[in-house]
Parts: sequence; C-alpha cells; structure tokens
Amino acid sequence: MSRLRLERRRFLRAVGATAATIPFLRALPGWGADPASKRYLILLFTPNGVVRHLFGADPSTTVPGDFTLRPWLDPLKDYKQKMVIVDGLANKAANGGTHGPGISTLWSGAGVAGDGSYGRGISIDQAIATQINAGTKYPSLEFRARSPQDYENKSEESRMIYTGPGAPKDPWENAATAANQLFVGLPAAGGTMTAPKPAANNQIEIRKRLFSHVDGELGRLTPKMCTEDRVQLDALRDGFHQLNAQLMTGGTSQAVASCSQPTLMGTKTLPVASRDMIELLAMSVACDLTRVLSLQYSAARSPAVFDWLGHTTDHHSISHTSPQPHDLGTTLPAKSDPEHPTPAQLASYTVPIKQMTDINVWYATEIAALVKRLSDFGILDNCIICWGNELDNGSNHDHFDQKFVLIGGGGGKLKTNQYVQLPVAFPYGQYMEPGVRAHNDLLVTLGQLMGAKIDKFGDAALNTGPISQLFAT
Amino acid sequence: MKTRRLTWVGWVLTAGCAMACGSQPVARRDGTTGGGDTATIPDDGTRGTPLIAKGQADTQAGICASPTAGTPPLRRLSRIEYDNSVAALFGDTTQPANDFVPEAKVAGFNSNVGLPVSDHDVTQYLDAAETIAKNLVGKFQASTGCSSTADTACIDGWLTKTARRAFHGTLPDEEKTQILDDYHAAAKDLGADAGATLAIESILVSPRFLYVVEMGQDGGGIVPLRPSEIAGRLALSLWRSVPDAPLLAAADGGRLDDAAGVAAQARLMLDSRADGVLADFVTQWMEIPSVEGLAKDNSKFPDFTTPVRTGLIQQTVELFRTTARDPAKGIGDLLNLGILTQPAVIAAHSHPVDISPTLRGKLVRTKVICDNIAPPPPDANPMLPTAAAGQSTQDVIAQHAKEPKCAACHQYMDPIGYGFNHFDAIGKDLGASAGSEDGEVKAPMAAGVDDLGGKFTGPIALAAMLSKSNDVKECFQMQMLRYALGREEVTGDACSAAQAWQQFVAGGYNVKEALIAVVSSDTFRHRTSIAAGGACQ
Repeated sequence: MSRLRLERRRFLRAVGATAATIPFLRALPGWGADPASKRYLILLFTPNGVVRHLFGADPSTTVPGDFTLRPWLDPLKDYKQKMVIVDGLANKAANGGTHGPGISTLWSGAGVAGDGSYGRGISIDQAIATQINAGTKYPSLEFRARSPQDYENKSEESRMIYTGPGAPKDPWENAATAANQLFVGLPAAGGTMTAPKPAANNQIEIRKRLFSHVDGELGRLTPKMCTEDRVQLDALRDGFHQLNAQLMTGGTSQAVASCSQPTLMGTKTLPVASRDMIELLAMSVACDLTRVLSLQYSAARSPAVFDWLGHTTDHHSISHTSPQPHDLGTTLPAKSDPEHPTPAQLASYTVPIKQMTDINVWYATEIAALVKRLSDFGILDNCIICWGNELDNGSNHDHFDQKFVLIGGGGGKLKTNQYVQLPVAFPYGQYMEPGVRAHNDLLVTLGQLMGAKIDKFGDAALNTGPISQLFAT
Repeated sequence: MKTRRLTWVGWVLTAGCAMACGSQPVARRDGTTGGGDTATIPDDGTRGTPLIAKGQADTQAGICASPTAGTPPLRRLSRIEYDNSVAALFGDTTQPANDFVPEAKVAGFNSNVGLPVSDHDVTQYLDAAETIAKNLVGKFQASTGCSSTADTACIDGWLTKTARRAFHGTLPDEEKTQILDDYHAAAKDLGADAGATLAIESILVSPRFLYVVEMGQDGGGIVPLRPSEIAGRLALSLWRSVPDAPLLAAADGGRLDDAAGVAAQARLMLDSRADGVLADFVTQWMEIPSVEGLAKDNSKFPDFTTPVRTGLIQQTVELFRTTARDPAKGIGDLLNLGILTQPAVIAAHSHPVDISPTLRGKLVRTKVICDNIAPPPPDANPMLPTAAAGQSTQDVIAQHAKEPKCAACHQYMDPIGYGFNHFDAIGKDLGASAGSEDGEVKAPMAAGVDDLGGKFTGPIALAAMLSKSNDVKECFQMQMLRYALGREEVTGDACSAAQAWQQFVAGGYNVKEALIAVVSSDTFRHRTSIAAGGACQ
C-alpha cells in the first residue's frame, strides 16, 4: 500500500466516516412499531460471478408472463412464487474494475477508482437502517460464512457493507461469539419466550458508569490530537455511544413465538459455517433483533475449495476457466450472446462448467435452507432477500448486466413471481451505454420497498429512478 | 499495488519505468534503470546498498545530523498485542482477541493503522473487558496480590501500576485520579466487587490501552518521545505487549534516554519473552497461514493432517528462532539453512493439489527481494490451460512468457519459482523425477546496487545467490523496520533506516541485531510534534 493511498483513506474517513455513523444514535422507535409494516431486508452475497446461461430465468414460451428458473436456481424452485429475477442491470459504479471494486460497489453504487482501497460510499442497508428507525435492539446485523481458505485479513475484497466512504462494517464471522453476544436473555432452543433476564450483578449500573468514564476520557484526550488521529478516537466514541444505546434500551421487539437462542454446530468448514450463519440470521429475524441484515459468503475472489463436492481447485480459479462471454457469441462480434450458447461452443468447457454448477447449486441450496427457515417461522413474506454477486461473467471479471435474485414479500410491497428483463446492452458488453440501467436503480428500489425515503443512491449520475415493476400495486 | 521504496530528495527518480511491471518509478542513485548481470559482490557491507545506508552518507551529508522521524499514525492494538497484553496485565491467557476483527495488511504485516474501529470492534472490546474483569474478580488475590476486593488501599496501588503498564507506559495524573475516583464511588455505591470490576473494565476499554497514545516531549518539529513512551514502544515491538515494571523502571531511571540505552534494554528484552514475536514475524514474513488455512486436498495428501501441519509450522518458527538467537548467524545463514524450502513455506505457496512456481517466485520477489509486483491487469485471464499429456506444470506456466502482457510481471516471479519444482504442494521433495529445477532471478526492479540476478539450478543455489546479495539483506532490514514500527516506511524514516542498516551490517546481519537496530534508531525514539486540531503531517 502506498503512502498516498493511506493518506487518501485517512482523508476519506476524515470527511465521511464519522458523519455516517452519527445517525445510529437513534431516538425513539419509528414506524417499525406497527406489525403490519414489519419488513426485513437481507442482502446476500456469493462470489466469483456466474456462467450466464445457467443462472437466472427464461421467459415461458407458452404462458405469457411466466418464467422458468435456470438450473442453478433449481434448489429454490419451491419458492418460485416468492421470487423475482431481475436481469439487465449493470454495475457501472465498479467502473470496469474486477473483484474488489465489484464487491465494494455492490450495495453502495458509489464509484471506485479501482485502486484497491475501500468502497466510497455508504451501502443501501446502512442507509435504510439510519432512516427507518425501527427501534429494534440493533440497527443492523452483518454475518459472514468463511471458508478455511479465505484470506483472513481485512481488505476491500472481504467487505461489502459500508457505513460511509472508506468505512467498511465488519461482519460476525464466529457464530458462537455472535450467538452469545446477540441473543443474551432470550430463551434456549425449545424453550418458551420470556422476558429478558435482568443482567447479573449490577452489570447495567457498572456499564452505565463505564460508558461515562470512557466518554470523559475520550473527551479529555481527543482535543489533544491532530486531525486524522481525532477521526480514530471519534469512531471509538461513536462506537461506545451506539453500544450504550443498544445495551441500555434493549430495543422494542416483535419476536415471533419461535424466537430462541440459535442452535449451532461450529465454524470450521464452509458448509458448517453456512448453516450456523443461516441459523443466526434467521433467528435474528425471528427475534426481531433488527430489520436490516446481510450474509456474505466467503469474499470477492473467493479462494474457497469445495472439497466436499470433490473439488480440488479453488472457486476463483475455476471461475476463470469457464467460458468467456465473447467465446459464446453466435455471430461475433455484433451479436455475441452468452445467454444462448450452442452445445458445440460449450464442448471444451465441460469440466469448469460442471464445477461452477456444483458450487452455485450448493450456494442456492444454502439460500433455500435460509428461505425455508424464514418460511417455517412464518416471516418470509415480511422479508426481502436480495442476492447479488461481485461480477457478472466470472470468467471475464465483468459487470455487464448482472442478475439479482429477490425472494420474500417485503410485507406485501414486493411484487413477486416474476422475471424482470430490463433492456440489456447490444452488442453485448456495451454496458456503460445510457440505455442500460445501473444497479443503483435496484438499490433505490430496495430502499423504497423498505419504507425509506431514498430517491437516488450512490453516484447520482447513475440513477434513473426505482424499478417500477418491483412494486406491488 | 504500488509500493515505493524510501524516497529521498537526493535520489534520482527515473522518469518512468522501463518495464511494464510495477509501473513505478524506480529509485536508483545512478539514474539508470539498472542492468541484470550477475556480479560478484564483496559481502563486506561497505559497497553497495546502500539504497538506504549510503544515500545520505554519500550525497546527503548533514541531513541526518539531527534526528528525523516519521509521523506515526495512531496505532491500535492488533489481536496478538491485545492477547499478550491482557496475559501480562491480568494473567488472562484465554486469548479473547481471537474473535476480534482481523487486521488489514499494511506493508505486508497485520496492522490496524488507518482504519477506524467499527461498531463490531467496540462490541468485542466491551465483551472481552467484561469477561476478563469477571474472571479476575473471581480469583482476585492470586491475580492482584490484594487480599480481597475490599482491600481498597492495596487496590489503589495495584490499579495505578496496572493502568500505567496498560497505557503503554504513560498514566497522566488526571486519568489516574479519574480511575481511582470512579473506582471508589462504584465500590461505595455498588459494593467492593462491582468497584473492582468497573476499575478493571475502565482500563481495558480505555483509548489509552486500545491505542498507543504518544505525545512526545515538549517542543516543535521532531521531538524525542518521553522515556515512558519509548518503553511502551519497546514492549509493543519486541514483545507485542505492554511494558513490565523493570522496563518502566529503566525509563524512569534515565536508561532509555539515548540510543545506546535503548539498544541495551532491547537486548535484555529479546530473551524467551520475544519467542512469540519471532514466531509472529516469520509466519507473516513467509506468508504462512493458520493451520486450517494450510490444508491441502485431503484425497491427494491424506497424511497432511492437522498435527502434521501444526508441526511443520512450528519447525519453521524454530528454524527462524534458533538462527535469530545465534549471534554468529545472519540472514544469509537463514536462507542457506533452507527457510524457503521449509515445507510450511512451500505448502503455503502451492495450490490444493498443484505446485505454483508463480506463488513461490512471488514470495521471493516481494518478501525477500522487496520488489513489487503489480496485480494482473483487469482483462487478464489469470488461469492457464490444463496441462496436456506430457506437459509439466512448468510447460504450462511457461506460456506466461509468451504473452507480453503476462511476461511483464511473470518474468520476475515464475523463473524463480522453477527452482522449487522438486517440491510438491505439501513441500515434499520429490527429487529429480519432478523435472528440471533450472531457474533465474531477474535483477531487482527497485534496488540500490543491482547485486542480484542470474541463472541457478535448485533452491540451494538460489539460497546461495540470495544470501550474498546486499539487496536481499537490505530488504530484510526493511521488513524488520515495517514490522517493528507497525506501519509502512515514509521519507522521514530514511535516516533511521540508514542507521539501522549500518548496525545490521556491524552485527553480522543477525536477525536479533536487525530488530535492535530498528528500535534504537531515531525514528523509533522520536516523533513529529502534535499540532492539536491541525493536520497530522
């Protein structure tokens, strides 16, 4: 990392990070107190792009308006009526960058320079959390299922949620710790819902005094520091203020009867981590701990090895051996169409396509398990799951017209059971054209579906307005 | 990613890079982009290097006459530092920071510099503080020496001592008063246990514990750190922990007031208490992941089990430690003793089944030579075709050389990696049956003297070549500087890097001496004065 970059990061933080965290110092519960409007946003991330013709949907040739799910979405077929496939949005904010810019713009829509530094804007979930003021215990909760091969360090590629420019939000990665800390006072699995237990041994009073002590100390120390260092201490102070608010109020809750401590298995492998994080996420919704959640699998440029599927090569490497979109064009270059390759075109890609299929069907199976859990709790219709990826074609590192999968009901606001095809670039790949909509429009739509007053999001120039097809009338 | 070697006003910056790779001006004192011929370099430490060492002496005489220093960004404890500190302060060896948010890589080493805490960090700080305090109150006498939580006078003394250590050597009077006042009030209102709990927690969530607050001595420009602050830095750099009572006594007794005193103290500190730091350094420097992260394809390598991987990592750590501790051995010996062919190192730079000349070459290029490799261009396909029948991995990798866009960078990595071709993905030496191990080291892209480069066969010859190079030794000194300071080098560190280099040379390129040289240098003992409310630089 160059000095220059460090300086820029510090600068970005100086101008943005603190301001972005202030809204978390929330006031009284807002509209969320009305059960009828109880809505949950769940952002889902899986990495390394797709093979287009296997992912998404096809319009029905016989029933107007109907659609069929493509093979990678087969595990979700039971929930087809709760789904929307949105096709044709370009991630223009990623600006031609690869994995890192892809993930750091996915939920922010705020352009990056592609220089490896962190994302440049708040992500939509955080913007929604600051606005809806649901009075839940946590403004938002972030989870991440890590594989043993994942790079451990914090980096642009391992963060997708941002509280502001250059300020990534860290997800829970250890399920046991998360369960212990988030579900304090809730009944054990199989138990019945009771009032939270009072904290033991003066804990509340000690905390009150502790927060007061550290606040005073920061108040004495911070003025002695130079500007960039003040930003660091201000972030610490904001963090304590927010924690104080959470711990002292306890939040309002409209938990469903099934709310209990999550039952976990451990976190050493991706399959186990996945189910644990799904359990945590679903239970967080059931217990109404927050209205805004996310689950990130691995990281952008995921090096996960799906050895339980018989793979010996990592996901990222596999993704690059799958077909390049320009290899699939029927009449190159004018009409390249990776949506409909011929069998002959695919003949040399049998192995990587099978492996990419293994991986993504596995991911879809995990997501189906989450959907089932939420459905069993009777709260799927209150949710909007939005599933995205840092890339479109994994082989090509591009962000042409990414497909997003929405599942749930959004408390009746989301119009489901449809395949929304937006105009795509022609020739294929000319996705920066004005006629192609940027995924910022989807982010705005998510904000409005969740009841936030958001008209534009991310880079203003990339916005053309919400996607009207997604709103139930 | 761009990394700039120390820039210095007198150094000549070439207008552009002759090579596509790195896309980076290369600092050379002679104003050329350098040649690649192998030369026999006298290993006397006087010729050459000088990238750092002789820059000032030759052309910048006088600039280093008075101390210079980089401006340290506020440093937040890393996970290992947090765990070591609570073990030292409270006897808590549960490693509560295991679940903390991982650091970013800064100049190749884990560091929390630059990124502000997230709410997740803060939640975990509170949780850890509450758990540690609860455990401590449960075994109060054993941990504090005070008879019970009601022994207020004893606790006052213990808190004062503990807070000063926890705050990296410095406990301002007003903070001491506040801690004691809050403790007394809580003990009176809520009971003795609650009072002690609050006091312990207030130390653990203090910004003066979680960050290293260094005000420096009064004055403008470059100012010396206070002796207590130097004690704090020493403990952090050499132990990744907080100072103990003898170290603070040395500070109070004026024994850290000059470079010689700091060096002497550092020498004392580098006993078995530095074992953890040496292990931490070598695993980060050689990019060895966790035991889980080192796993390979189980069906291909069923014997590469968790205990085996644990043992192999330990083996590398022991090689590094014993070499570091032997005053007669230097970095060259470390290479000749085979640090680069340690199974843990080789396995860490292999794919789950296949070897990787690229990853192995990149390790040498970036970590041993301190050259910089830019990431592949966005439109590059980083995957090579599957090896056809009769093709070796090397044959496939060799295609990098045919594609100019790939070759620009891969010429600096792959040919070095070929030298390790006899080692499979778990670091096992398969011998000559694994094919050729002819390799080549291209001359460094950024370097002072170009005393490195040429063809070689096998890792022993490679180690011999590397161990003779001043570029390599200088790189190692720079890695130590980055690790000890917990940040990337900046221009203000140049004179100190030069001082450290000279000491490193004088110390026979010994690893321990490299550390001592850094911590007794000016940039370690000074800082720029703080302009409250102004810019930090």
